[in-house]
Amino acid sequence: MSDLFVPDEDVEVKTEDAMDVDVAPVTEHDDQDDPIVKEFPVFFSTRLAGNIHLYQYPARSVDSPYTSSHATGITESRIKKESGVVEVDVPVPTDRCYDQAKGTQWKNIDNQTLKGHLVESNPQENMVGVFKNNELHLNPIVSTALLRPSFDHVNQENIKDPAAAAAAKRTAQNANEPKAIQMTVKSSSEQTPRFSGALLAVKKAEDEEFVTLQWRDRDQEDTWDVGELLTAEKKDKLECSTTRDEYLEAISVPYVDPVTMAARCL
Amino acid sequence: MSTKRKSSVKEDARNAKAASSDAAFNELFEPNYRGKGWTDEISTAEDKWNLLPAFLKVKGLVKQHLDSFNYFVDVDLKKILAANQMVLSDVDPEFYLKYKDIRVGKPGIKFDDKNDDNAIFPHECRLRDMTYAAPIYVDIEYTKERKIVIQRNLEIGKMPIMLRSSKCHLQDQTEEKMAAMGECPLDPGGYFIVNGTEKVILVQEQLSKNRIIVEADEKKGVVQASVTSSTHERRSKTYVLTKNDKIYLKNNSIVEDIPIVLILKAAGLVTDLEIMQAVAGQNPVYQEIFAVNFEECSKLGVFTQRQALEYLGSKVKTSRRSNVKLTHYQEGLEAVATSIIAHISINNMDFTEKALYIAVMTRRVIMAMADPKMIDDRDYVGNKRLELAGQLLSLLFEDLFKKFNSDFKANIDKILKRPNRASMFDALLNLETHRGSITSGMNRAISTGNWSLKRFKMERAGVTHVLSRLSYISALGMMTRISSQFEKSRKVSGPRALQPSQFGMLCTSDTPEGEACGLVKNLALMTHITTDDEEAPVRNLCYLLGAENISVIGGAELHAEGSFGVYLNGTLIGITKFPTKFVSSFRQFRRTGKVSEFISIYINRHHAAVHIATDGGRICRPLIIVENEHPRVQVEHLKKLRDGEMTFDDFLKQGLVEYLDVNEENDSFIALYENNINAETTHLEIEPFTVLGAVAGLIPYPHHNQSPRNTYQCAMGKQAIGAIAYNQLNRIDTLLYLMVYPQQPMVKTRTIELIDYDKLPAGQNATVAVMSYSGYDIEDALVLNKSSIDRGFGRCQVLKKNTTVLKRYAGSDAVDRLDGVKMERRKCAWDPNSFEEVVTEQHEVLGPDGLGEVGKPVKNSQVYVNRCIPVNNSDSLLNQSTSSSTEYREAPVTYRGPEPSIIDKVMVSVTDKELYLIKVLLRQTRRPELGDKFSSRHGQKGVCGIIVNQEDMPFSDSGVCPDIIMNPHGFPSRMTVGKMIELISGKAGVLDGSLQYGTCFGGSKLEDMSKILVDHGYSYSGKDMLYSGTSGECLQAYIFFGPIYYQKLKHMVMDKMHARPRGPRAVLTRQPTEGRSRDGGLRLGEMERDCVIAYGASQLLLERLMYSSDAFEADVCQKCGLLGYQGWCNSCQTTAHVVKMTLPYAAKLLFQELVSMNIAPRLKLKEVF
Repeated sequence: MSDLFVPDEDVEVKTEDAMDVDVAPVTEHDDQDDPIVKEFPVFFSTRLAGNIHLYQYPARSVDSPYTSSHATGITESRIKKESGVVEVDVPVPTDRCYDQAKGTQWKNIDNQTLKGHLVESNPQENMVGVFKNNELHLNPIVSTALLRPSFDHVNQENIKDPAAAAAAKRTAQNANEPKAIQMTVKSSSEQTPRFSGALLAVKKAEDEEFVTLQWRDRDQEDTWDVGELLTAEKKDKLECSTTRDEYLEAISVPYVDPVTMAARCL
Repeated sequence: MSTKRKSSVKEDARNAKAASSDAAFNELFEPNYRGKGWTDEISTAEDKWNLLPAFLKVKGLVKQHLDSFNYFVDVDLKKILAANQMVLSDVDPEFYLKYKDIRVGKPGIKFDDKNDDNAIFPHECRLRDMTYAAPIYVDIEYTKERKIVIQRNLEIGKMPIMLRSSKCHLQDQTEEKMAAMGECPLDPGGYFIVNGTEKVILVQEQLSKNRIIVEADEKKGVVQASVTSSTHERRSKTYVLTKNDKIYLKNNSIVEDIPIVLILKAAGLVTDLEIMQAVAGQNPVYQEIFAVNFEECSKLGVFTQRQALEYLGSKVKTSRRSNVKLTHYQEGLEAVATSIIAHISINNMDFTEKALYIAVMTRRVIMAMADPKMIDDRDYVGNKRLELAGQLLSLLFEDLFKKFNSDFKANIDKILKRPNRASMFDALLNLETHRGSITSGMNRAISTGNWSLKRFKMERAGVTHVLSRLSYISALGMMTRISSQFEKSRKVSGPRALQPSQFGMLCTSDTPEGEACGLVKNLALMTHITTDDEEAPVRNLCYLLGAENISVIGGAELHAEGSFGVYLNGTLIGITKFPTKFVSSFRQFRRTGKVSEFISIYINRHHAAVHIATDGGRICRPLIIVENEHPRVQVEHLKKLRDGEMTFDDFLKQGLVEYLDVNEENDSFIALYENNINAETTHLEIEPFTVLGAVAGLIPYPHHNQSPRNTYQCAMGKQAIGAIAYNQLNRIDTLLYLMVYPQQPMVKTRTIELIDYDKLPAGQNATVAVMSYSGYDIEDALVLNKSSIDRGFGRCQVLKKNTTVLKRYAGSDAVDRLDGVKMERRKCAWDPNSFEEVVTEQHEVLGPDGLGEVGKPVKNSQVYVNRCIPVNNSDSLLNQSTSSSTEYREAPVTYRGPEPSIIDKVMVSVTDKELYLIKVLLRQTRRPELGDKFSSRHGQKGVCGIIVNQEDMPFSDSGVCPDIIMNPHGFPSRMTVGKMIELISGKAGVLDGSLQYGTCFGGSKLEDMSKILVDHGYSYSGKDMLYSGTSGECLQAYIFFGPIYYQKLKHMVMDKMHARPRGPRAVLTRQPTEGRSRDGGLRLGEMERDCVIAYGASQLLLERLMYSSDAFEADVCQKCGLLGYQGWCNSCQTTAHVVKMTLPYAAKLLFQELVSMNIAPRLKLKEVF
């Protein structure tokens, strides 16, 4: 369990690399505008396959990552495994840009919680690449999460839902008063309202307990040791079991005439 | 001589080939059809038009309807089934019924019968007033006493079948088979037969769904981006709009407008930084415009996602579900997940996609605020979608299927609720009882045209129309018609205007005049309308082609310089840095057939976006691909096409031709002709005349006419009398006009050949002299040659149907019946002393069976169906068992009309309700008379002003005499030069023995035609020297003289003439009835009345308005002023003061009505004269 998330830190550093791999245009030999500059072998590493998750911090600039070297190393991390909710805590630097009064109001908060949901990612689409000794090693990413600040302290403050409070007040007042009730006839289909999956997902997530994860900072020794696992161990040539045509067939979306399709079904 | 040899070679080759199949039918589809022989030269520039018949061979003229219906029946039906798969019981949790599969059979008569001899063909349905429908079968799995039972091929109802669709018996049949079925091989199909009437579901034009449209109101200074979300369950519209330069979101499920920043926070963009990045990016102008919105949100005290959701939840309309109370937070979540931008459905906690969609909308609004040019044009054809029969039926079917299931569920719940059931419960029996609901629901909707969908609370009337069978062209024109959802009454010019983007997609000429002008359009000849394609594999392909998935992209990268958003059906799915490369590789996939040819992709550089569309209803058309300044279609391809080695589909698969929709066409550079190709050219037109549709394609040389004239002809071409179909003489339609000797036009067009107008023509080639004659030719009146009429010019037949059903009455055995002929004793004509038994005059045409005999003429008030109905037709239950011998009274069908008709056909059949059905067809043959309307093919209509004996008509030195004399004043103001060229080409053709072409932007050249004329000893100008028919002298001017194709229009004097000396009166007011059909009076209206008053003819006024209308002698009491009766005043209880006066009955009625409302109108009488 604990080693499951160790490479995360590493991944975060390599985010940019991963992007480059994806964006790099497919080199074609006849492309004159885009000549081949350099060639190097590409390896597919599976040593950490299934264990790499990408945490992204959209509200944070790349120049100041959440690492101990920037004095904002992650102090604690948690996960709800079933619902995929992840949280990390980072310290809030109180020396600058810090409102003491607000800090007191919110009970001396000195760390910030970043929250996100793991979304399954297509392993062919997002990969982590390590460039080492003129070799590129690729590792598939299982899921990604965008971690944004969660202002739970603000929510805690006005957890009292104004409407709920008002409703409570109303019921207290009107408890003894007789009320006119409109009788409505409902058909059976109306009795089971259909809620969206979002509501159920949120409910499920709220019911689940967090599991604390051990966090290793980027610059720690053992993180780098795990990082070694990103390179491929066996350097055999991979034999492609699909032919070019099969691959094309697999990714193509040809027009299917409804009539012929129906005939095929029969 | 050489032509003859060539054609015989052609003939042989064809005979050898078409041993089994029908030659004449296949000839239609030959690519070199009536074009060139096998040995002729081929050049790409001139012969690429051969792709057009090849296209029509695959697509047909009404392929859009057939495609759409086939898609519905074969694909959509299964999707609907999958979405409504389970039926569960509230009572018994063990019970379930699951639909496994659904399919539609072939039209047949009985339920649950799959034999071939059970088949029913369309023509039988027309004749017997039945519905051409096929059974819908499902496979189900359900529980019966704790056991799972699988039942296959269970019929749940009947589906009306579109003719010539994949489920129709007519699909891919040979001409002989079609003839055996009583069907015309040229009939385009694409319509339904419901209760014997042919019904068309017109193509509906709508604004595209799930796309952002930005509009601005300059007066109010409001900019808004709107999107109409449409899913199977719901339809909602979401706006992002400005109010005092601040931006809000509006949705009909939210009570008030919500600040945009609040919504974005609710959707998960919690930090202001992220919102700014997603909306404005790095652009300082956009940042400046947007900044004010952050204040709006913080003023409300909303900082976190939870607060935003709670605020939002408090503004949500919660009326729809009252039994489960949600907290504001939950309401807010639900609103963001389902109501706002409903077409993006969210089933987990990740709202990123939706947040970005709203951000993109906001960005579009800001762009329009910064630069007012950045708004969209909602009239642009690329922003339109066409809704076809299949989509409309699928909406209807899903509604009916849901109702079917809920009824079934209610039924089984009722049974399962019973504590002790006597017999074993089998849900199947209950399912079967409901199958009438789907059948009748479909039938009712199509036959009335009222589409009511409970899910969307939508009520739409006038969706279907009766297929007009006035002529072949009118039927065809109806199949290509597009009706708009705009109101006709609103005086807006935008939606009515001709759009540059409709080039090649919608006909530029064919639109009605008057209120629907520009709102009703027609498809052009090569248009194809897409059906839905799967979205998910296209999305995957985009990622494989280098698009970066949006889920790992932030706002900063999205709007970074040089990055383009990739939008799939309007939804952002990723970004790419190399849009041109991305688009060209995507197109490469499409041109090799790896991606559906109907998926379009284009770059919008204003929005930095690559748009991919896979949705249905887009209008597209094929174009030749040009690469490196060379069209990819080359001579060898056309040779192969000619030799039948390639079809149109091969051209598509080999990437020689591709479909472009309006948006992609706008992103292309299309050369009209091969010599226009330059370095930037991407495509080449197949044929420029395809800008016109089927109806406008009839006009010869339309490019020489003033444009409204072509529009007028499009309206009139549909009224021309001609041949309707090969089965026209077997049809029994309510009203059928047939021309006796129709001719194909001397001057044809390619379109005429392609749509087979030359096989079912509506008009005749008349020799026209353009000159003045007799003064009966003013105001476009025509002078007709009497001998021409004798020879059959303009002769037509009118066939009218009468339907009689012999009813059965509920609660008794009594049935309507036919009685025999009534005889009368009359004095013998030759022996005045004896009497003889003769048939009464009224029953003269009847045969012993009580039906008119075929071939006999029926005169006014004669009986042709001698029907009798039971006297006590027990509508009241009292008479139920009075006597066994029922008495009958006569209720005959009599003929009404000034001119006699001939009984053409009598059909006796049985309806599907086992009632006797008698259809009698009455025929009149009409020759042209004064006042009948004619028109050429150039919007030049005129009525016959005089019919002149041939000896009085002018004649040429070769003895040619005109059929029609047309006044030359018709030309200068109308500027129909095409008509003149038609005359010259036609004349050249007559002399040459050839048929000339007047194809739009092409056709036979005037110079060549003049050459032929000169070669045959005629003037190059088409003018001849004529001699006067009356004096025999040479006319003092050369007369423009030659053949022009003339159409006889359906407006004939006989159907309009009307006079009434006296006649029927309305019951209530005792005034004469209104309208010709009720033998009504001719109204002296308000304005005429004013004239009579002004003139002072008061007695005339009195006569017209009272004596000849509703004069009534009333008793008036002079004492009380009220009306009395029979000399007695009821209020004064006396006869003393009562006098008689004449007044209009309507006035008397008014007084009585006033009295009934407690108002006493009192008359005071005085002597005037």
